[in-house]
Amino acid sequence: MIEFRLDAHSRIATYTQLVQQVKQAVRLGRLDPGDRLPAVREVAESLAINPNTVLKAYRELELAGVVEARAGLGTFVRAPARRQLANQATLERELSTWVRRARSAGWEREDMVALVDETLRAAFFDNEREDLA
Amino acid sequence: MIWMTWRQHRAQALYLLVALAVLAAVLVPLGVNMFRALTDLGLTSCHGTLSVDDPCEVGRNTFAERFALPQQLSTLLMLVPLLVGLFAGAPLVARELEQGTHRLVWMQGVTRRRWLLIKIGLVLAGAAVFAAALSALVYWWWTPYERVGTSRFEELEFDLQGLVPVGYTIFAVALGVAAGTLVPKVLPAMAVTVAGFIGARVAVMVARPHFQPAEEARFPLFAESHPGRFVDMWQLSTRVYSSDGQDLGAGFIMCPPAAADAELDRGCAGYQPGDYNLTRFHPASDYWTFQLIETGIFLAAAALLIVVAFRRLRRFT
Amino acid sequence: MSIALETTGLGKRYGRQWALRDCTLSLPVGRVAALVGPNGAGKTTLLHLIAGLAQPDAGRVRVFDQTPVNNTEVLARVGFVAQDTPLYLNFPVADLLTMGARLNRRWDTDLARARLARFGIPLDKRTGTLSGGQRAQVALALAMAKRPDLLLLDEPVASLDPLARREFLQALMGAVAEDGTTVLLSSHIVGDLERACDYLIVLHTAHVQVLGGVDELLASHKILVGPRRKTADVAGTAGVAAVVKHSHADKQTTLLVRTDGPVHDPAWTVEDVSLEDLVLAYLANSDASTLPGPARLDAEVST
Repeated sequence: MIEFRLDAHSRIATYTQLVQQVKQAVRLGRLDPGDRLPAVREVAESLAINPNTVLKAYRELELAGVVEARAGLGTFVRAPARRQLANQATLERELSTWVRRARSAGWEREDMVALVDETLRAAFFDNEREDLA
Repeated sequence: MIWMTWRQHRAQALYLLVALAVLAAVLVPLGVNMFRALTDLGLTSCHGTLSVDDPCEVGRNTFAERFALPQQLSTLLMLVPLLVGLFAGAPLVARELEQGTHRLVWMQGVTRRRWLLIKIGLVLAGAAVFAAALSALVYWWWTPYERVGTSRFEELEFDLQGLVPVGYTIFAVALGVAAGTLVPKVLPAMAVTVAGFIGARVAVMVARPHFQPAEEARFPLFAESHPGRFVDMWQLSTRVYSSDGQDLGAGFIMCPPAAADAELDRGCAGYQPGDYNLTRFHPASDYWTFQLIETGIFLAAAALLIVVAFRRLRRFT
Repeated sequence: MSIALETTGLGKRYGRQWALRDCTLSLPVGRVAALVGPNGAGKTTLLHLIAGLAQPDAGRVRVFDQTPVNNTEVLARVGFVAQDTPLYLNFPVADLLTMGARLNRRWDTDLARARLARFGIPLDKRTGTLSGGQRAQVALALAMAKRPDLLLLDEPVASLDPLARREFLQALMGAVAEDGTTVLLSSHIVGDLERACDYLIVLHTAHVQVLGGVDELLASHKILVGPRRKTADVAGTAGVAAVVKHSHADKQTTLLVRTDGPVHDPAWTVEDVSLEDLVLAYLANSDASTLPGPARLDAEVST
């Protein structure tokens, strides 16, 4: 369970500090997916801050996808979303085209999978050899 | 609110109970003692006559001497209504205003009127019961004194028994409460209560003789037998007048009929047959009327003060 | 959105002196509002008028749309902790709880006990023997046990040490989180209020000077730092509605301004302002006000 701390003299708004602390905790592994964030009342009471501030922080974390609110149970840390990959749209399109062409050439699914597997192995094996060399 | 009033005043109620118990513990044995003394001194059939050769005179003097101190000390009981007013009445409102607790209790779902009504009602009721009990006790205890000639109707004795102590006590409490709404601090309110109480008591005491027109009775100085003055009356004054109406001075003089025997009694020298005593008095039968009138005056004043207190309540924040 | 309390031209006079004059404000439900102002500004008078302890001499006050004076129905929904937290000093705490249970229609003894237990207040000790901080907690517990919809507090922490102050605010925030109580809290310690309050009322010499949600106020005020120039020259700058505070050093001018738009003038460095600085600036400048005129009821309602 995360314990919040507030820097009253900081120029950073209170709710922003809370958001940052949760993100930091997740990044450092102090909060794992499935961990429950403390109840709004607990945070408001222990820090002597307005509960709306806590709600605001939790809401922002929810919008950022870091946490999710489960009705009646509390606010929980989410599993991190998949990393955004570069050029995803382009590569995805190219792959769809190749699959279509392979299909129209009469290839079965297993044939395509076998070719992809072998190509990957060769590519990463070459990389390893390059690294070692 | 009833619980609250009880909780706030239960210590005071205890003090009153203890005070009553102490006074009873003193007066009851004393009274029993006095009644027995009446019998022992042969005074049981002496009530009423006051004549020159009074067979009971010796017994009366003995009794009066023996029980003089309690009679004198009993005057202190006049303070009791004032004390009740000071300690039950004055702090009732004044202490709450002084300490600010009115801002706590008036926010607890009770209106100011109901708050004051219950407080005043219960405290007055308690004070009245106490005063009535004490008054009855003193009335009983006083009976022997009455038998030997000290009338209950007399100046100070009147104040200690009967109905008036209840009136005084209720007045004192109401005065204390009203004082607290006029000066919202306990000590000044107490000061106002003392001043007001003394002032009212003195004023009414001065007015008392005039509640009803006084009666007059004449007793000749020189007579075979003196039928005796009236007992249990309230004698306002008694003076000696000559037969032509000249004022010969204060006093009540009884002389034997013959002028010759006058030498025996120096007190009768210089007086003529035809001179008479003129006593102005209120008869014993008026005792309860006077008690009711005086009690009524103080109860009416108390009611007025309570109205003042309620009116003043509005202005406090 | 509903209004917990509103006043219109409210005034109260003691003798010939007006303690509060022409006070118009409204407080939305669910807010924790700070009532700030120097001593003698009328804070206590305003709170007494809202609580129904005092009668107005001018204007009107309505709590949950009713007049609070002599109104036991509204009284049941309002809790008040007066200045110096008055308590019956010779009562043990438990007796105060009994008093509350007997006198109030709505009373939650368990809540009061839980609150007192959480902060370690013994029930059998006379309140006169408790510390200042503990007495404040008792007064708060008594007010909260009524389950009020509106809680009024008159400088409850003024005479408390920092730890007691913190514990009091903790208790208060816990209560607000649980019940969604609307709170109006007067204080002249602004630092405490910044973390707890989301609505601000500034009273200055019996008048309302600042009124609004904290977020909106902080968004609409900025500190401008720039080369030295006359304050009067600044007034025309786009985005600056009014200058609240100005200070001039040798070569530099610092202004605290109320904005009605973004300030793009490159001569100025624009910085955010803290609540404390904002309040202090207004208190120092009695002519400044966030209110353009007397009655701003509708504008505040729409916030």
